[in-house]
Amino acid sequence: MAYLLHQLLTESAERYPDKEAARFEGESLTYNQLDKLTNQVARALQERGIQKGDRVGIYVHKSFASLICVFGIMKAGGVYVPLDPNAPAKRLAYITRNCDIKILLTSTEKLKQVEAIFSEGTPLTALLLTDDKVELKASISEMIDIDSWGDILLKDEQDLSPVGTIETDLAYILYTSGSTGNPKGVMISHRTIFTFINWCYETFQMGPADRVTSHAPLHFDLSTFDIYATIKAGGTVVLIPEKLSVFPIRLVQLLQNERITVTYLVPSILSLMVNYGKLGEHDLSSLRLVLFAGEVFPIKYLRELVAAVPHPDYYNLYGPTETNVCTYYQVQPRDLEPDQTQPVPIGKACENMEVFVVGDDGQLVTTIGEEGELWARGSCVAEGYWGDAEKTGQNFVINPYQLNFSEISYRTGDIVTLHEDGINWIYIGRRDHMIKSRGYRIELGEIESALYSHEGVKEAAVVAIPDDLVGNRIKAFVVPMENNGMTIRDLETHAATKLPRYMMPESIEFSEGLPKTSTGKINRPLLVQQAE
Amino acid sequence: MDTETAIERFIVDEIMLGDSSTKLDPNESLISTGVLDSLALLRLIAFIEEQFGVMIEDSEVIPENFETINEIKEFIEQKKS
Repeated sequence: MAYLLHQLLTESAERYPDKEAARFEGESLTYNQLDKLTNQVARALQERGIQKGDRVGIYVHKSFASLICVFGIMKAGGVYVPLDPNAPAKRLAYITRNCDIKILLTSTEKLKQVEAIFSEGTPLTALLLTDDKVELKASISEMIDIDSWGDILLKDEQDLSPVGTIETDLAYILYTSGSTGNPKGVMISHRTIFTFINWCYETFQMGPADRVTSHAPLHFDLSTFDIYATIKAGGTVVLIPEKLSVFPIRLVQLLQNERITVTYLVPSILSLMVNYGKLGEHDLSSLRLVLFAGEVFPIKYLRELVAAVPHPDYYNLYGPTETNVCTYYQVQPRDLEPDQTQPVPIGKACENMEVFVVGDDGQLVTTIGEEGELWARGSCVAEGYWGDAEKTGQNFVINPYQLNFSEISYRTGDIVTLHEDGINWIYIGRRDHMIKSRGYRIELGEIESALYSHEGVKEAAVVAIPDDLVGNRIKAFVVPMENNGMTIRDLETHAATKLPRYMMPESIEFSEGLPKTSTGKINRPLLVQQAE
Repeated sequence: MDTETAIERFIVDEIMLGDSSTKLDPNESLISTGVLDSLALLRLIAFIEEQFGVMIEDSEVIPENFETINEIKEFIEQKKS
């Protein structure tokens, strides 16, 4: 059996043709319909010249189109690259140039933003539209070839001939924050994600009766569990409209009304549901499994969540995009006792993965309480960063602890310590300036680069203020150039053209100088204290 | 400053960190355009409670009351009356 991600859909469509594969705003799509639509999209892509290994962008809001795009692209042999639908055009144009995206799947409501991507410079030559909602504006159709949704629906819906994709070919590329100012593309192969999905399928006993939320956007790797583990099981992917995901009470209503059995969310969304979702007033009896990942879950909100909804199993999953998920931990009653103040552990390695921890002295950490950096090896490790051998070489390194053969391991940059049970790992913090806010990972250096790119900035430091509800709040301290006349508002406006919304500092403060340590570095801990 | 302008100014200045000349369409969705995310919504609610002296219940935090500037304005006026 080949380990190809899109075969999960083909196989489930054979077994469960008339079963509900997806739900969105009260409408359903069967496995047979999804399979046929994705065949049509794949043909349209091939007729536009897409061949094995070509990158294809996805620029849509959460909808049936999200599913149709990912499977359609992989069936055509392409590598899908999700673009954050709310990111600034400059950043998206960079991504299309970085991995050479010539074809973009998008919707009519995004055409104005597609024009903005064009004005920033992009190799795009064709658009495939996933809906027929509005008349096309002449200006964009003069710039680029466009296939309408109507054109796509005229394509043959039968299965395609295999294009020769093998399991070590790329399935998708996810762009994450990069410390030097540009996002970096994490390359994930079919085998990598297939290994993770197989593990999820078995560990969480996924089945055709499961109804699973799809809350995370496609450019966030939580989305892969929602889609692929559910499709493999013949279950139903319940796509959550972005509009609804902002309102905790509506999210809880959706869990109730759609009889959701499995949900995978970032802790900040779960905390909002605890605080504002009126969990106790809703019937969540169908819910059997709650998975969370992406950031530390403050124990007080996890405790309240489990108290309000006690019957499901709760798991903490851990892993940077570069390793999918590499460890897991099932929450135990003793973790939630009133005297517990520590977050739950990140746990132990998933199947087909090994994690090990390296201390400052280069020795492996094996004793309780000792700290070190977490490394991961195994099938879930990504192929590196697209087109960036230097950064890839820094983090994806030959495993020095493997003496018998040569293999790549990934240094996560996360500092952990061994739990007193001697089995599970506990997350402590970061080695560098990467932080999490609402589950998104953010390199503070990327924000600083965006600030420095304004000519009026002499010095800039961005710090994260820990916050129980959202993970971190971001504040910036800036020393302006003399006689430049730049205002805080000027700088905010400038930064907003470079950074996605979740990376924008909540405030920017001007000062005459930044505090320094004895070695001349910016004294960040002091800035954090000042900002708190 | 009238209600609509106060809300618009808060969203443009504090949430979008935009240019003070930015105008928002009062009938355009703040959610599907990505202006309001879950954190921004909490900040907007705190602002409204303080600025207009109203208490907003959890059950009132729904798209019908917060999707557009016009809807937010109507919601506040109905709360005040």
